[in-house]
Amino acid sequence: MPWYFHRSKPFRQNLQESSRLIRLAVRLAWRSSPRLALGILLLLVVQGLLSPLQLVLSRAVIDRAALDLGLLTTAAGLVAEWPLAVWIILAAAGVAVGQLIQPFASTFQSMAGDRLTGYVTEQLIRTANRWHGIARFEDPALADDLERARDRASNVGMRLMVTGTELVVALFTAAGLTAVLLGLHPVVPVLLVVATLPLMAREWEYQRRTEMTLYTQTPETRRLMYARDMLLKPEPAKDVRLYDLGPFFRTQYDTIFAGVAGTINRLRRQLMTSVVLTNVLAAAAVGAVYVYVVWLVSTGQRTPGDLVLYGGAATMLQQRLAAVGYHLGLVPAALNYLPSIFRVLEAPPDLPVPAAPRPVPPSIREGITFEHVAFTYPGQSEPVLRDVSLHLGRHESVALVGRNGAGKTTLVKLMLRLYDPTEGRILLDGVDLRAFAPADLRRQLGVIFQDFVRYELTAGENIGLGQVEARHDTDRLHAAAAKAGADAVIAALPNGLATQLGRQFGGRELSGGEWQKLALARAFVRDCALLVLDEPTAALDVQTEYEVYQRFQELTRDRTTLLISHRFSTVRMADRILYLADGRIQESGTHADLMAYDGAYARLYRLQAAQYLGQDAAEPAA
Amino acid sequence: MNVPAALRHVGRGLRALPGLPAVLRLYGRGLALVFLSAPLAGGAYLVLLAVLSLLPVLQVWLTKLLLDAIAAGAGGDQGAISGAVTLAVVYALTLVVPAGLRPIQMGLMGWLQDRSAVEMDRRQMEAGARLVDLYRIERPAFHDEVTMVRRGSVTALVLLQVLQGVVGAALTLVGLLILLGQLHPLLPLALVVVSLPHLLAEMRLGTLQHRAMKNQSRPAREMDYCARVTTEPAAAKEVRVFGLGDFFWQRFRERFAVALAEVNRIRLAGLRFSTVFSGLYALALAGGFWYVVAQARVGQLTLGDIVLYLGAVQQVQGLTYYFTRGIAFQHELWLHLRTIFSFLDSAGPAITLAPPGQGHAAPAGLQTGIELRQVGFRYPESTRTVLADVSAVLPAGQVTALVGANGAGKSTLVKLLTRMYDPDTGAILLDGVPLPAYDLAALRQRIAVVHQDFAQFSLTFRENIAVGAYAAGGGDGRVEQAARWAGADEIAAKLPNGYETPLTRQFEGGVELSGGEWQKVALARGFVRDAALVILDEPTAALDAEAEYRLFEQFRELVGGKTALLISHRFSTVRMADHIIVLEDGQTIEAGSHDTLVAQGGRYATLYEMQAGRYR
Repeated sequence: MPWYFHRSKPFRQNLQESSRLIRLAVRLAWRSSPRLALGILLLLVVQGLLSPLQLVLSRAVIDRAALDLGLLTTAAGLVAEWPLAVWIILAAAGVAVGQLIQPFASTFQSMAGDRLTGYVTEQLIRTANRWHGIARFEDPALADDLERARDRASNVGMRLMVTGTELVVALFTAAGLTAVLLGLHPVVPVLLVVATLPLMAREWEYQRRTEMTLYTQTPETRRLMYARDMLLKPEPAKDVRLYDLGPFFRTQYDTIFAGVAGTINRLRRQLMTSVVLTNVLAAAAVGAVYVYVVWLVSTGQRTPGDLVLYGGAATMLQQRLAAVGYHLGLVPAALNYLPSIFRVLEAPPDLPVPAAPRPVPPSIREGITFEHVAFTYPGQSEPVLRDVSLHLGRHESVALVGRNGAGKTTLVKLMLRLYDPTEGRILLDGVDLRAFAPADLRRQLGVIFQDFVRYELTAGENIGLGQVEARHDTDRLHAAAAKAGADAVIAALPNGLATQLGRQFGGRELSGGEWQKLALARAFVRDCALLVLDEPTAALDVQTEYEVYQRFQELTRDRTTLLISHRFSTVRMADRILYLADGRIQESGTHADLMAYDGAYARLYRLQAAQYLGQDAAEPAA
Repeated sequence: MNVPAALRHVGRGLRALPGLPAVLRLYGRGLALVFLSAPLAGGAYLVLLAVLSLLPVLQVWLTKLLLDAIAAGAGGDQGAISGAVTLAVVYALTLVVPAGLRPIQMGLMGWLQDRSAVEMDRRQMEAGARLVDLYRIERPAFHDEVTMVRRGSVTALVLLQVLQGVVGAALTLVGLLILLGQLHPLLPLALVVVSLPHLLAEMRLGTLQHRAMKNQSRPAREMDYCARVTTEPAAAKEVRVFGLGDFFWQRFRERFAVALAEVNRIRLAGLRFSTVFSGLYALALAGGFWYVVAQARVGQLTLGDIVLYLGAVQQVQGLTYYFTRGIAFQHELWLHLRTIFSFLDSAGPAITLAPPGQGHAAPAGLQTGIELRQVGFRYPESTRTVLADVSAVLPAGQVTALVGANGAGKSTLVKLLTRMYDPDTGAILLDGVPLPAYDLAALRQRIAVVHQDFAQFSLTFRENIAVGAYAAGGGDGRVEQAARWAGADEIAAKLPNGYETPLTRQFEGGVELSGGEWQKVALARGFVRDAALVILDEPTAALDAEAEYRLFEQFRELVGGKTALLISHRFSTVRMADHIIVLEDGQTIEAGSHDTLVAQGGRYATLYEMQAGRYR
């Protein structure tokens, strides 16, 4: 974590990080919509100059009126030259412009904020899409960043816009007011700035620390939200109610909150006294300036208009400076999620992609070969696969068997090049997978994962996404559905393939088995040379499972198939069976071979068969 | 935007006014929630708000007095000069005093915000606890409803804060208008009359904008969904293998453009609007100005009055903006408050509960068992009858298996047994007494269910099991014993912090379990409960052959003398039951022991042969 916020970091380092983040934020804002950014900048300048200008116009009106009323004998420059009516119109226009400019500024801010949100989210999507493997997603820290970046993107957009623009306006105005006050006495602005500096520092500290606590306690607040949400979530609803967990989560919520609130309140109290004192000091300085001006005016050294001008300018300058401190304090909070966002955007690609990729053969001729493949998940010490060598021949169907956690799914991930092996290599028709462009390679692959996705899209799209460019080809979709036994599911839907599925958009909710049939159809719609089936029938009822496997031969014809299943009745239908344990292929052969070999596979098979056929067929459990 | 269009908006804004009392009542409830969550801090906050809001009025007034004093002393009158300096000191005090008070007010506000956010959370949790059945929770719309409530409560709290700002601004405004009224009664009236259409129009546009966001929520939500699918780990594998990244990216772009265009259209309409009204306002302002100066010229008003006018209108300018913005939000705030309170008010049981204290106590062990009498059930908002006419008996102390195709209503039956729903027709009797006659909490305490889609709590390993016996305390080694039975103790042994490891990567030091491992945890959760009825819904789907074998080896011991209901697609498991019920088309078509049913050669025998035959 190169430039992550930590409270313990020295001020200077923190400042450097902040300024880098600000530069990046400004660049993001600029890229998301240059025209809006320019418009906002223009408005900022106008807004910043408007307050001093209004004050100057007020002075002119008053002095001109005083001249007309005979309270003044002379006035300088334009005040004496232009009639009162002109000044009145100008002053009224000044107020009206001030009134007009605010809605413009805030509308532009919202528009730019939305654009920034959209831009950032789009960048996140594009970055994620550039990761060809899944290592980044399975890296908990980065997955966390990604989640945070995505969920907070909208907040980041608005907060950056608001904090950033308020800060700039305050700075511009303060500069303008300082220029005005120089006209009174060069010491006055210096005095005001010096008296306000402690306040700025306090405001900055206060905002930064109270905001940052909320952020640094994120794990706590996340647990807080979790406890709160449990009672209103549909997914765990049955368990929560059956086990009457309302009081449990309520207690958890209260305990966590007490901790969080205690810390924040202690901080607030600690900082409060000094904020009050510095605030009073700054205000006293303004008061002193005011009394000084009144004395000057009442002794005739200055005009009545000067009272309004300088009195107003002093008050405003102090307010603006305090605002600068306040908004500066908010900057770290506004930038909070930026490190997450940039860590994601700047994460290096997870798989090397060849500069000149080899063309992928349109169909598999020799097959897929693992040569002494070993694999350890990043950040773990224990290898999942130690030394796997295997060969899947052209149009061969191979079943992979092993206990929970033996590494079957990992092997699949390597075959699909979602990871690269730590040692050894995987060849397709004799060529290392790493020599192909990942997208080309995958065009030849189809898969149904154990944890397949339930897309909150239409039923047709749920199938069609298996071959995304053919998703409107209804004939093809229906054919795939029929193969997977999903035709009955589709027929029962009110709008057939066009029916929206899933809770989120008020669509039809399907049962687990029905979803699985759609996932199967998705795999079958794909025109692929290698099909991987990872526990494809776990949630299917007997009838459907039976039907799917009746068609097993047909489904696996003309393609290489790798099947993972705990049901040995299914496994035995494969041309060849591989038994995976301790990170190695321990046994390999046809069902008959392995039964004759009488090893681990045979033992497991008999164990299961015995449950169907009676204890007599079983060996004593080892 | 032309003037007639602007007037139309004004008209609609006017027509919306009669609903005001109901609106105000709702605000009252919202504010009560905030202020009653911390009455003392709330009171102090309001007092400070009033004081700080009125000080600017005082400042404008003091400035006028000052200038008049100065004008009087223009001749060099020492008394007038010292009078002016005294006024200046008073003025300085009006700067210093709020400087001390404002941070305190802000601190109180932060405190109030925290308290009211918690109060809102607690009320939501209480509402969730009142929803004892699943009628509402399993409705497809419920997810959206809760999301709206949740989002609403966050926004409502922010907006209530805006509202408080509006109250402060209103106080200042009234004070300033009274000051202006001293110059001429028509002056404040003119300013109000000129501002009013703007106010109404802003209210209307605020309503429109909010409505657009709501109507647009579909594209906005679809856009969000596309971002999720492509950036969440859950779909990462499929998205890559099927090459779906671009598909979802394009869709995101399209939906984003639609959503943005609509919101911006209304925003820009609002801008054109503000321009028209600002022009009008400037004219009124200049007119008022002219009047004040003219009066000063003829000696009716003073230089101080000119300054007062100037100071007042400048203050009013900033405030009206703040005020109208606040008012523009009111529709949104109102909608949020309505969503929240109507949810909180309506959250209650849909099933009929036994009156408190009058419900039967549930037995520690069943005497006769459970009887389903012609049970019929259809989910609300669904046209499909799940259970048409189910009659069956789960004999006490026996293991009954339930068999049927996907969607035959097996899991629904479990929900009826645990009273997550009540049957539409027929009745379920436990030891001869209908379920609704039992005290609900007592009844559920005697039932343990391992659901097919059991909950994976982001809690520790121990807590994930102990929640099964939360009410009973779950202490003294019961958790460990249940874990051993379910074969989950081996998992705990491998975890970095053993039983105290959080089972989620979301929390520090947490780990993610595999599907099979989770299933063992869920089993342990069922076993830890001191139940009279144990229900296992597909308990072994994710277990490997050996784990499954071991589990059923021990199954009898685990169940003990309890009544058990077992749902499984694996006939190897089903055949171990004492009693088997076959469910098809919402009816029980066969019932009996494995041997009887196989001998009968009916539906069960066919299904059994389909699976067992492939092992021969």
